[in-house]
Order: sequence, then C-alpha cells, then structure tokens
Amino acid sequence: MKKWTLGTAAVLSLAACLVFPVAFFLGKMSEGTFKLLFLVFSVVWFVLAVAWDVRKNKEAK
Amino acid sequence: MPEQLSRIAKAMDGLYEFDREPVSTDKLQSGGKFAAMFAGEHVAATEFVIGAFFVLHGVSAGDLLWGLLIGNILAVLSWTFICAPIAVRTRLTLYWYLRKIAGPGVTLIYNIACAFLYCILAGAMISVSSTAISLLFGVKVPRLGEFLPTSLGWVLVTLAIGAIFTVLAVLGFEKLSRFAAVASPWIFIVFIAGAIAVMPKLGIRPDLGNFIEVVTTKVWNGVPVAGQEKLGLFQVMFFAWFCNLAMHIGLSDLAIFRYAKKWPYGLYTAFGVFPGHMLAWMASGFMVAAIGREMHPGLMAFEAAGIAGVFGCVLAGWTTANPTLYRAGLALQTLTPGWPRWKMTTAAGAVTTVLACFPVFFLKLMDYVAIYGLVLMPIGAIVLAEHWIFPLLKIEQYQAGKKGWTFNWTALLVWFATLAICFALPIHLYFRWLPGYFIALVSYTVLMASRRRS
Repeated sequence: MKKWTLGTAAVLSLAACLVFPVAFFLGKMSEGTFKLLFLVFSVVWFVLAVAWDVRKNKEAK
Repeated sequence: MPEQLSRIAKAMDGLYEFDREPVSTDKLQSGGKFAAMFAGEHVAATEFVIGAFFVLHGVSAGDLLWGLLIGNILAVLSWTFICAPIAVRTRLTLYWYLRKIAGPGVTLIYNIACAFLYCILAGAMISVSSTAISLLFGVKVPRLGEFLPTSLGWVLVTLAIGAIFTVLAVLGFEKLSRFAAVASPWIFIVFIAGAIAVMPKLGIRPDLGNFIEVVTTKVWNGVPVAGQEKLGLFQVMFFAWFCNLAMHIGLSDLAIFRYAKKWPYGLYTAFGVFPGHMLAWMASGFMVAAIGREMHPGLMAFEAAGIAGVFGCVLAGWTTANPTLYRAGLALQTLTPGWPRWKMTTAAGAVTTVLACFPVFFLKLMDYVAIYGLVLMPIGAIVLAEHWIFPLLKIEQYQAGKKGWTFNWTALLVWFATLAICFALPIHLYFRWLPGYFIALVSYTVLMASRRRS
C-alpha cells in the first residue's frame, strides 16, 4: 500500500474510534457493540499507523 | 575527593557530549514539527489520576474550567516568555548552560535530583498501569490514603509490569519511542471516547438538555470525598501552571526549544497542554464520577471503553514510563560513568519498580508533582538571573565556566536555601513555588553582585 493510503486509512480508523462512543451515547448502538468495535478499530489503527510510520521512515532513508 | 569529582564530571560530560555544541541553523525545526511533538507529549497515564483527583477534591465545575484555562495559558506563556527565549539565544541544553553558570559539581547534584524524581514519576506511571492489569486478575487495588503495598497480588502485578517496562526500555528505547508516537493520538481518543461513553451512566440525555445539571451535581459538584482536601479555583489554576514547572520555569525544555527558529515557538506548547491538561483531565473526571468516585484508573478505563480502555491505561503508563526510565538511567549514569546504558536503565527500572509497589506515589500524585517542580525550580531562577539580569546590572556572567569552579557555592546555597524557605512557607503547597522563584532570583543576583564588590 502507498504511504498516503496507509495514512488516510489509519486516520479514518482513529476517527471511527470516536464515532462509536457517540453512537452509543445517542442510543444508536449497544454498549457491547460499541466496546467491541472500539477494540477492533483500535487494533486497525495500530496496524495501519505502525505500517505508515515504517513506510515514512523507509522513504526518509 | 576533588580528583574523583573531576573524573566524574569528565565522564558525565562524555555522556552529554552529543549535544555539547549549540544547535546549528541547518538543524532548526519548523513550527509544525513542534506542534506535532507537543501534541503527542502531554497525554500520559498520570492524566487518569490527576483529572480524577479534581473530582475527588471537590472542585466545582466553574473553578475547574476557569482554573484549567488560566493555568494552562500561564504555562504556555511561561514556555514562550521564559524558556524559549533563553533556548534560542544559547542553543544549549540546560545541562551545558548550567555547567557554565554553576559548575560541574552543581550540575552533578542537579542530575542526581532529576534521576531520583524521574524514578518516582515513572513509578507512578507503572502503578497506574498496574491498576488496569490488577483488574484482569481480580487483584485488589490500594485505596485512597494507603501508603504501603496492600496485598501480595498488587506487589506481584506491579513487579511484573515494572520488569516488562524495564526490559522493553533496555531492549530498544528508540523504536519504542516511535511506537509511543503512534500510540499517543489513540490514547487521547481513549480519554475522549471514555468520557462520551460514560455520559449515559451519569444520566446525561442524548439531547444534552441536562448536561450542565449533571456536570455540576454528579461530576464536579464541589464536594470532596471523605479524607480529601477541598481545592478551589486558585489551586486548580496553580496546579495546571506548575505541573510542568521543571520544563518551563525550570528550563529543562531548553533541550527542545534550542531547535526552534524563534522564541514564539513556545506558543506551540498549547497543542500539548490544552488536549492533555484540560480535555484529558476533564474526561477522566467524567470517568471517575461514573464509577462512584473511586480512585481506580484501570476500572475507570474499563468501565468507559472496555478491554481497549484497559489497554489504553497500560499503554499510557508504558509510553510515558519508557522515556522517563531512559532519562533516569541517563542521569544516574553520571554516578557510575563506567556502566553501559543498559545496566543503568536496568538499575533505574529496578528502583522505579520497587517504588511503584508503594501506592502513595500515585495516590499522592498531585502533591508529588508540586514537590517535583518545586525542587528543580530554583535552578531555573538562577539561570534566568544569570542570562537576563546579570548583563543589565553588569555582573560578570558564567564565572564558574570561566574560572573553572567545580561548585558555584552561591548557586548551591541559593538552591537549597530557597527550598528550605519554600517548605517552611505557611501557604498551600501549590502556591509555594511562586514566592520561592522570586526569592531565588533576587537572592542569587544580590549574592553574586555583592561578591563582585568584595
């Protein structure tokens, strides 16, 4: 994946982590679903953000 | 003894050799880099504790909001008008600038003090992470007011966490720092998501119609929990101002701002303190209110964001304990210059882990933060006097460096006397540093001026 694709996907996964608690607060999602999705997208953030960071460093070198 | 001291000083210089020369113009960094760096620097495990303590100390919502706003503005201005201008004029770290001003002996004592203070701070971070892991194993977490380890389970969990953090810090500080930079925005999201997620538990309706009512009656209701002192506007304001006292007034962030193109870059600290020391503190206030005002960072994070919250709490502790352990190791290396970095980091980690078993360090974190800043503050006053006031009064600058003094005894006397006076001042601990700062500034100037006349 290209650097900017990784970066965009990472930022979107982080943004999603904020959307789920809002959905739970508004009553659009159960607490269990919110916590599960928050965990899943947190893992996605770390995978993508680490890959993004590695790619940035490789390019810098 | 003097020979031994000079050997230690020489070895200590070797450790900091890489940043001995002033930063050259081609290495200066853009404002954006400063903004990004500060944005990732001020969301730590301690935010879970400090924000919660404002609730437990019975701070009212108005006092909290105004106190944090004014206090953080004062902190940003301190970085901008006190720390950054000296940094861009000298382009030196505090270590090398202090060496010119106070001599290698005083610098050595300063380093030892820093190492000790860093170990306690890292210990508090480990304790916070331990509360999260304790939850997974059903271990009872120490309650407010407890000083000593409360159970074997707590000690074992804390020792295990401390050992893991130390091993990771030894194995690869730089890679972990990069990982910490990745984790930092997510940790901030955990705070915000956690605060939003506990709102239904607190009874806040989705239309936010009763938001103010709930916030002022169930979160910051102005009533302290049993055994906790009530804090008001000025305590909150001063806390927000001095919680990074060693960095701005104490000038240890000269190391960062020496890379700034100009002194107004100090304003970029706002990108760190407002999310970290305002939003994250307020978020943890919501979280602690939702668990019945109990000081249990792990439980707060778990109830708010589930397993991800627990990881957030552990990661917040780890990512901040890691550089703190590294700095403690580096500072301690001055005592045993022959030891390699890994050995020193292990020693610092061992001390820190033992300290972390004592809950007093995280349960009295706010007082500790006050003392930490207070202890290092006089050095900032001495450097400021030497840098700005001495040329105005035509007092010779950098006498220790020029005359080869090991100790600038005046600086050492002012440092310790200021601390003695501060600890005796009959005012709240949070306010003592401010008169202390002026006492150090004036007394150092007067004593050095009188030395010139004699």
